[in-house]
Amino acid sequence: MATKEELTHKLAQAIVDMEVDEAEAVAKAITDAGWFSMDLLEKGIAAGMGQASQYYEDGEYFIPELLSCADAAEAATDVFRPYMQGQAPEPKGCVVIGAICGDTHDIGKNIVALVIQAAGYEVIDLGRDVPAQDFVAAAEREQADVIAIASLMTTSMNHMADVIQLLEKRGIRDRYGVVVGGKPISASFAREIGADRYAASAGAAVRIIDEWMQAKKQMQVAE
Amino acid sequence: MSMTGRERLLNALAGKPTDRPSVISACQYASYELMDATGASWPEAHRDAELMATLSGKGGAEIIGLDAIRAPYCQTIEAEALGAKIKSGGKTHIPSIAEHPCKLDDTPECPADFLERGRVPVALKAISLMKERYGDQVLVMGGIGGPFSIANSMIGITPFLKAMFKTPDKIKPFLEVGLEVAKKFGQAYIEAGADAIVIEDMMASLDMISPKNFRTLAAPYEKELIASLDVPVILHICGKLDKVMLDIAETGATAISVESAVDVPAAKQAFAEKGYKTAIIGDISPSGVLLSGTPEEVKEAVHDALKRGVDIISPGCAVAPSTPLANLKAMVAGALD
Repeated sequence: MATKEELTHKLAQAIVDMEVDEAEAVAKAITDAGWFSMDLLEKGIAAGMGQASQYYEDGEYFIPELLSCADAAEAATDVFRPYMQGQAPEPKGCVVIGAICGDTHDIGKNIVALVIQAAGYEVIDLGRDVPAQDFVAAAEREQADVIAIASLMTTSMNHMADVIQLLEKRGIRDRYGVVVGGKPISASFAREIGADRYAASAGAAVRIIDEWMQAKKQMQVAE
Repeated sequence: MSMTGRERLLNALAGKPTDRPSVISACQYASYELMDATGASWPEAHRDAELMATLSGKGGAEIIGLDAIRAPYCQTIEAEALGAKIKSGGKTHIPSIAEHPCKLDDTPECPADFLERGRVPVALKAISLMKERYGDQVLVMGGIGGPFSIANSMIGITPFLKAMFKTPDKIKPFLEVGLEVAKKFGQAYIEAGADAIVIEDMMASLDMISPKNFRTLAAPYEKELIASLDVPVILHICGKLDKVMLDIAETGATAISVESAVDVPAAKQAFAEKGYKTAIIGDISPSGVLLSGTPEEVKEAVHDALKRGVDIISPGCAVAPSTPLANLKAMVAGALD
């Protein structure tokens, strides 16, 4: 019989391999053996999604593959969910994410949201076609750490700047890290509109948000 | 001898000499300043042929000074005519799809009265007005979606991409309808007076799908569409396309419109080795240069694009509507010196 470590690895691999039924079966084998523990979320599910997004960055996987990996991750999470009650881990931070108003494409944003969530963050997904004031209101309400704004279209990207201007107007710009991304967005565009960082991929978004949280903690310690 | 924009672009598309590099905007170029200058604005210009012809025609030919003018501005006309619910973009945005007309298990069909539906007649009429007013000076281009992009606008990109992976047979009927719709729309533009057709197959980008899927599910339909259109055809696809540039050339497109993510010198060399004459259009960045750069930076970007072998200058994708008019004019000025 497989050990817990072997099953955990098998689960991550099933997610990478886009095997929805296999991911579900392995998750069941883990819970049936009484081996469920919270670290499976990171070592099994997040590890699988992390590898999948790495394959995407390397040009080996494309969006259909990533969506199928996410389906497998979701199937395994569904099996684990009843066992997670009351022992939700402390999230690494809170990220408010959405596709800027005028943009009804949300596929890229959805994938980034999944990968950030899999990496251990609480994700408040505002959906698509989100007005600037909704980003700011949600960030304030949730006491978020990071605002992530996506745009897939050149015809709506200029409205990303509205979010930053609104934060500045309210005098709360320095409360949040602002990360922008999406097909037409570039690092120079991000600088131009006053965002903190540009993320070229879901994996990059996680690395940038991790860095931001690290820096924020150090600042708090210093204070 | 100075050429008209029309002569210049037709020569550039045919690989013949021109008096100076040709400048167009393969995708939409309406900006807020252009709306003020022409008195024709969104959202009205999306649904009114006269306003569409004024914003695109006067704006493109007279004010910016492009060698070609095009309509429409958004990529939702086909989806609307196929039954999608459309959300107005108001003054500042283009219309978008609020609700897709089909589900994956539906059997889609191309309506017999497609050409009379929604804004299709508006776009056709706008093209005929533009041809009447500017047809002797500039090239008039009708814009359609590619079969792949029309197909996924029918059910939504996420279910489409998932199905592409798991049950590709289910999406074939949608691709067939996408092809039929695009053929009808393109043919009708030509009858209305269009000199050229721009196919925007933005969803067939390698940002979305693999080269393998591009070859099996996008390119064959593009090829059949292009073969059915008896005028020069520009095929625009977004993103980094290096792995499929030869495949795109093999669709038979007269020219390929690309973003700056594409390695133009490498593509030109690959084309030369195969003896392909396909022109490359691009690749001035709509965000980094046109929206946020200075006119000087725009001119430099034009010079740089020409140095890298770009045949016809154009923004690499749709122009952001808040783009300064001075930058759009600088794109033309950059080709003068």
